[in-house]
Amino acid sequence: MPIELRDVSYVYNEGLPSEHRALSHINVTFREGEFCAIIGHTGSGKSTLIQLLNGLLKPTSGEVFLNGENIFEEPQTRSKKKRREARAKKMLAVRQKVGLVFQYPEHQLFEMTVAEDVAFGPRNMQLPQEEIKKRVKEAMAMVGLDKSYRKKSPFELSGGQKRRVAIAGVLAMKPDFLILDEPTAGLDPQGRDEILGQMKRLGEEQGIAILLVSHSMDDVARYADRVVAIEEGELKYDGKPEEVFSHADELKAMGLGIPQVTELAEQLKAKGFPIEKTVLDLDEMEAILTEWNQAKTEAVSEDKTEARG
Amino acid sequence: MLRDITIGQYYDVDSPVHRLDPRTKVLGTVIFIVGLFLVKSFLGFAAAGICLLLLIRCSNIPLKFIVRGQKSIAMLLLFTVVLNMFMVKGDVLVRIWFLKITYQGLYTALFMGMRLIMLVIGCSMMTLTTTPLQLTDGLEKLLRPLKKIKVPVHDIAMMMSIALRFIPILMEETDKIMKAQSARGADFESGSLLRRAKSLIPVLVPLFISAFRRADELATAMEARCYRGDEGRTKMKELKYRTGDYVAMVLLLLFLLAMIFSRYLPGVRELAGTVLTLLGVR
Repeated sequence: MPIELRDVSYVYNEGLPSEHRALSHINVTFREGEFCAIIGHTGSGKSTLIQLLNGLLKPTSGEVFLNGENIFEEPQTRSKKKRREARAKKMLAVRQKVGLVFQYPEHQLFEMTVAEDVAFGPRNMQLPQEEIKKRVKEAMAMVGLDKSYRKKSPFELSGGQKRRVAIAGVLAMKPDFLILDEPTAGLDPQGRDEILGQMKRLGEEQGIAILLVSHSMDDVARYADRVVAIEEGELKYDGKPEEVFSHADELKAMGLGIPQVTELAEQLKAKGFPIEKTVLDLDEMEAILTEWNQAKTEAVSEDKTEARG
Repeated sequence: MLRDITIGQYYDVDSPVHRLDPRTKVLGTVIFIVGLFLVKSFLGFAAAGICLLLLIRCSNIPLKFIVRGQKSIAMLLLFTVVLNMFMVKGDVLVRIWFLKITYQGLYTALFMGMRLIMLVIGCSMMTLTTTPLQLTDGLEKLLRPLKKIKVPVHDIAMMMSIALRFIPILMEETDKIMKAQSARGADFESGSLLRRAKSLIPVLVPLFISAFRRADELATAMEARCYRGDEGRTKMKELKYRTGDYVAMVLLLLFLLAMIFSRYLPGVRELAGTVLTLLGVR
């Protein structure tokens, strides 16, 4: 069930002095089960891109395909009313399959209790009562909220817990794709690691594809298996993290940068260290340094043996 | 969808109208409104309309932008026109079942519609060409005499400017929340009126919460910068009337006179006639 963008452009306020081209001629496919990070400078068009994926925005030109089906294709019926109904039904299906969690999603909570708020999505899908209950339970478990939260008001929770509730609200619709727009903004380091870790696990255990919009290159390197970089509405890089982060200078020019470990490796390399590849995580770096240290000790002891001899 | 509403927005270009003193523009708007209510003939409306078009021309704001902004009052306009059309008694033109459209009704409806459109455009011209900050400054200065009778002029002006400043922010917020709830399958467009009204709860609750949160944050930020009302507060930019303002005042006065004249024109003619007869000229 891939989402495919074909030659998609989006222009805000077309025909006005404030006209602004947010995306131009984007071709990209997001496949099921992958953990893909979308990076780009503020105003590069990331937010527009993710809103195109679930039909909240309609492309100015180009098409969006979900599972090979154009999501904005006009239904083939004569009656206007039926057409509108068919369109609404299709949109609901698209939004069920492609879950979107906006920035600061806790600002959209509105129900009296956590359970009711999580149930909002499934209720809109008009599922039977039993199924809704089951999904609320599952979704809350997925984000690590236990039973005791069910009857609480979402407004008495802490920031991180509220955010989990909001994410659970989207997960309860059982999406195939989960798009998260900076899900860790404003959270403490522990909350950040917990949420991202849970998302990674969700991807691995439930097969949900995760699309993560993030400004933290460290998080991207740590969790993603694919990185898509956007600059001024155009697709700049699309590939494995080690590929994309090997373009350190270009990424810095885009206002993005590279993970700290990678930066360290690059600087060591510049000083003449024997590092060949793009280093992405601490373990890898540690291995390289240990190896180098061993080689050095051996060389020293060899020197000593020679001197003695 | 909500971005199309232009009432209360500022359109950032440079023009003679933008450069006018805010006091002139506030006074001008008041005069324009008074003028509109004085007018009793279509000729008068045509004159007022031409004046408005000229003003828009001078302000460098595309007419298309202003017309698009009127979409938001379409419902109100329709309501007024339809209500007037059927409610006013008089000579029946068309009869549909128990509804009657009268000549007088049609006349009043057209009149009201035109008045309403011009009223809204006239008022939005003020906010489109004046930043909220300038506007409050102007209002505060204009209303200063009321301070003598203990009216908290500064506080009122500050509240107004905050309210105006928050219109676009809350619009954007509404847009965002609606999108977020749509992403969870909320449907705002179909269903009965009651269902649609109910579907707004998931938008209104977060909107109110965020409005209160913003108000709280703003209050803290203002206190952090030592705001404590107008006592001892100085201005960075003192307001000053310039040549353009005097020209505008003269034009406004002429406009007002023309409107008064257009209203009392038949009366004036009659009066003149009576006086002349009395004097025995005729």
